[in-house]
Amino acid sequence: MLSFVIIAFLAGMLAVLFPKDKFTLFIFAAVAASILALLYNFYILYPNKYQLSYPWLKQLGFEISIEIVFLKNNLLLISSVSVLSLVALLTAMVTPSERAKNNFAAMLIFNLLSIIFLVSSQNYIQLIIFLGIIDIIAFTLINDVGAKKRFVYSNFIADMGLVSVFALIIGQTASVDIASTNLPQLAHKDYIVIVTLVCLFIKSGLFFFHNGLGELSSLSFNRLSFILFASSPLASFIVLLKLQPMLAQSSCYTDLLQIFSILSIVFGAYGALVIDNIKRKAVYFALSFWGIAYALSGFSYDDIAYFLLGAFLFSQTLLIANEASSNVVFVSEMGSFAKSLKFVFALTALFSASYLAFVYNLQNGYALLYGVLFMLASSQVIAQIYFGCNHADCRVWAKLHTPSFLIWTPVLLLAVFGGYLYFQSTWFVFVGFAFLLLARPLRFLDRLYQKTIIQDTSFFTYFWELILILPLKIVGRILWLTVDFMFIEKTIISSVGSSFEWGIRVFNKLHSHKVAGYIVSILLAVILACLTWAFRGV
Amino acid sequence: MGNLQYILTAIILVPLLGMFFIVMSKQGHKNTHHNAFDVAAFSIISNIFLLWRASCFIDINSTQWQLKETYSWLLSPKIEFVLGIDIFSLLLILSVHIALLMGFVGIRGSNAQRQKSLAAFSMLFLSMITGYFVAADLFSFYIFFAAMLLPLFMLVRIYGAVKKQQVLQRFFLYNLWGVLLLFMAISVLYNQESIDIKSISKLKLDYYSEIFAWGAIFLAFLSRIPIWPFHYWISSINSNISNPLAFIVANIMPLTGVYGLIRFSPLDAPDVLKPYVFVLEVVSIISMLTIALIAFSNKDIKYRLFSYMTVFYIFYLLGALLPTDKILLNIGLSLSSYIVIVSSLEVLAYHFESQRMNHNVSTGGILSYTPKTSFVFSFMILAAIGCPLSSLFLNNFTILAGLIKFNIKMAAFILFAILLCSLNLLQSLFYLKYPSKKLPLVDIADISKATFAFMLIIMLLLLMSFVNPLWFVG
Repeated sequence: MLSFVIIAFLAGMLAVLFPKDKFTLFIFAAVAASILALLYNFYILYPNKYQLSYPWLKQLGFEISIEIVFLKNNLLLISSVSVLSLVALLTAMVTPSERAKNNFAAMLIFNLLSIIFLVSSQNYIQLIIFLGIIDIIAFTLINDVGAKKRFVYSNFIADMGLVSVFALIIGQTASVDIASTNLPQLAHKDYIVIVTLVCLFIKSGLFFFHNGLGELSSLSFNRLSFILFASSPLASFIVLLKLQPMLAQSSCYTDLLQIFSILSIVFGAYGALVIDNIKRKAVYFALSFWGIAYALSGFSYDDIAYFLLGAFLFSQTLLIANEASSNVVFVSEMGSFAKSLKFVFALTALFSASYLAFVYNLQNGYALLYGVLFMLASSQVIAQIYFGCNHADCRVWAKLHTPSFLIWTPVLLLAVFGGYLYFQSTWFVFVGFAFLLLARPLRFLDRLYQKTIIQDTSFFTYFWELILILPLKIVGRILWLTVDFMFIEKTIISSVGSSFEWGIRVFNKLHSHKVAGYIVSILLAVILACLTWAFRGV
Repeated sequence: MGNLQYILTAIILVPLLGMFFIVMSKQGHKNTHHNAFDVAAFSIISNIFLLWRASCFIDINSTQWQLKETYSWLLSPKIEFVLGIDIFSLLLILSVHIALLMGFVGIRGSNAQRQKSLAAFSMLFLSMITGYFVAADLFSFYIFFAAMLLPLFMLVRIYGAVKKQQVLQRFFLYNLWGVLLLFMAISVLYNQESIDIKSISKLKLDYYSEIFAWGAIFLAFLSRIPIWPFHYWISSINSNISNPLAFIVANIMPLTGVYGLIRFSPLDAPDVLKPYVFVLEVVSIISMLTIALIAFSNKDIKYRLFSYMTVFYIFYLLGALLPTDKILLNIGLSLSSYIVIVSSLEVLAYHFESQRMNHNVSTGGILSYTPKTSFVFSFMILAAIGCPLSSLFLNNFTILAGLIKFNIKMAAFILFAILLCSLNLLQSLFYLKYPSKKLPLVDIADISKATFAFMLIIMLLLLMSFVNPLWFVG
């Protein structure tokens, strides 16, 4: 297994060595082959446990090992991320909007390897290292300044929070082992749970902290989808899965998780309904997905693995619509595309219905809530694009095309598989979805696309600026003026200068050949002699 | 180990020898400054080789002086000159050597005036600071502590281009005051006999002498660290210096204060001083917060670098004050990466600052003209803020774990200050890398290929320090 990890790493390094997009086909083939080889290995290992431990450092006060541990449950999650990465790679290959293909391929494989190490973490150090590496990869993947700034700031703050929590735990237990942490025995239990959860929420972009992900809509669709489902948000979700046995011992854990999950599901669906930009819609669908993923974090790993792949491929259906219309990003500028894109429409509808059937079969209250909201939002969006009033430009119409088979084949495979698996038992979900597509009960929401206040204003960005950044800047400016300038420059330095001036004047007077001068000098000498005698020591 | 008998003396003398050759070189020849830099670089590289050789014979788990060398000087009073090294000193010496080498690489192509004397004074400084880190007895420790001031003052005075003479005088007086305080403390302690600096706390003194000697020691070392309200002099000097080598030298000075406090270990200090240690901790945290907050509203990259350095120096100082000596190695490992990272940032900052002045453009987005500088600068900023790219990451984590265990409230403030100054650096990176508006077409030079290659080596070393911080130790 280790040799395949090394081969995958070398494939990534090969891609890094050709930054100018030379030999792209060869590099893509190498990266794709290494992912397929990894998947084949996972398949072989599936029924067995695999463990590799490499002793790393000893001189930090702890013995730290880097481990690769595959159990049946985490293997499926990694396989799902591998398939997701492969789909993103194939999409990048045929998408003209992807301008740095080799760089993307390199980052994609490094990200996958980091996820493997993250899932395998048995100690806090490995966990925080690979979380940090995944953040650096995301930093490289985001090729838009505004998006990069917001994403990096929020992730960095969250990482520092997690570092403080892990340092607190390690400081008390003197052990880096995750399994040996017993929360009830630790001091500051609530701090540990609350800060960990809030940091993970920030990194996954859950409601209240979603403005970082919102800015990502300026990226190419494929990069956006990859970051939304396979980068920092997924990494923090994996951290939650790793820490859950420890965190779940606190009473506030469930409450916090429920509140933020439900808010994210609802707000995500709201955004997916009212926002015009299809990429931002994808971000809101992802927000809703991470809401339900956090709510189901106690569920089986297998379900989460399938769920992740399903949510990513739904995002891929939006990408297909975007690609088919030559990168039109506003849904209000689409409509009636089903006339020219029958196959694409059928594919999208079948996949969405299969995905909904899967969600229904989870038999969970949160999943039901998510399913209902997702059904409303997705049917509204798909109907708008493929059946709605035609607002598309004639040039867009002329260029409508079914994208490359490399993009839609994975969606088709899963859609057919899902249909085959669920249609018989949950046919009513398929029928209900078809009814919503045709009836479009929420069509009155279309007018919200024209409301600038909804489309362009980011209240949460202003909110964070107002409560965090602005006060700090004001305090900094005040300190600069009062402490550095007024207090040190004008008070301390001036008074020291004045005292010296005064001292010089006094000594000048003492040297003025007057009797008083002599007397004061002798008195000073006597005082000095007395002081020396008093503190003479033993 | 026979051939290592005088290795510590050699490590101090090699830069002095380099200085001698530099001073002897012919004045006025067109290649004089190149020769001076080549000699300086050769001396530093030779010394790095000697350090590596010494590291092969060092036991990293021992807290005792190793490779000890003793020279008898005076019989009455009995004064010996004792040198010794441990892994902590070795890491600091190595990082200071790399930092100065980086400074030389940074100014090699520039047209700074009087470069021969710049190289000579830098070599003198290197020799003195190396002596300071290997000094094992009180007397040699004091000599090197004081002797460092001369090259420092000359470098800052001549190459700092400090416009305000008042600021320069205050800076020098402030440092001299520290030297005088240490002298007074040593005159009390030296009454006993020539002693190892690691066993000073075992000396039995009367109450007043104890308070006086330890108080003077504390203040002497604190005078080198930009603790509030004395940070003002150092920050004023920093924002005025326009030569990267002088900038690096000025910013290495606080390291001598931190090192002094760690060596004299205030935790072993008499009980009467314990309340003062608490006061020191409070003042340190106030300093960290004040400087980090001021930098948050100040866009100048030099001030932000100064704020970052100050916060981390104080962070290491507070780590050293913890009631455990287990994290001393972590502090050493962290400090060594930190010095290297900060020095490279200073060299790069000097490069684009000089380009900005030459072409009269704004610094906003200046890195978009220079891909090589941008690549190295981004790496260094990410390493500085604690991404897993150097030994800073894990060792800072361990120090933080120790601080949190000791006092979680204090640690929360420290973490906040670290977070702020790291965000400041990130903000600077974005400001320098991404222009807010379209930039004019100007021919801004990138760093030379040689500098870039050197920086790549440094980056590789940092990455290696992350994988195995003591990879070079035998």
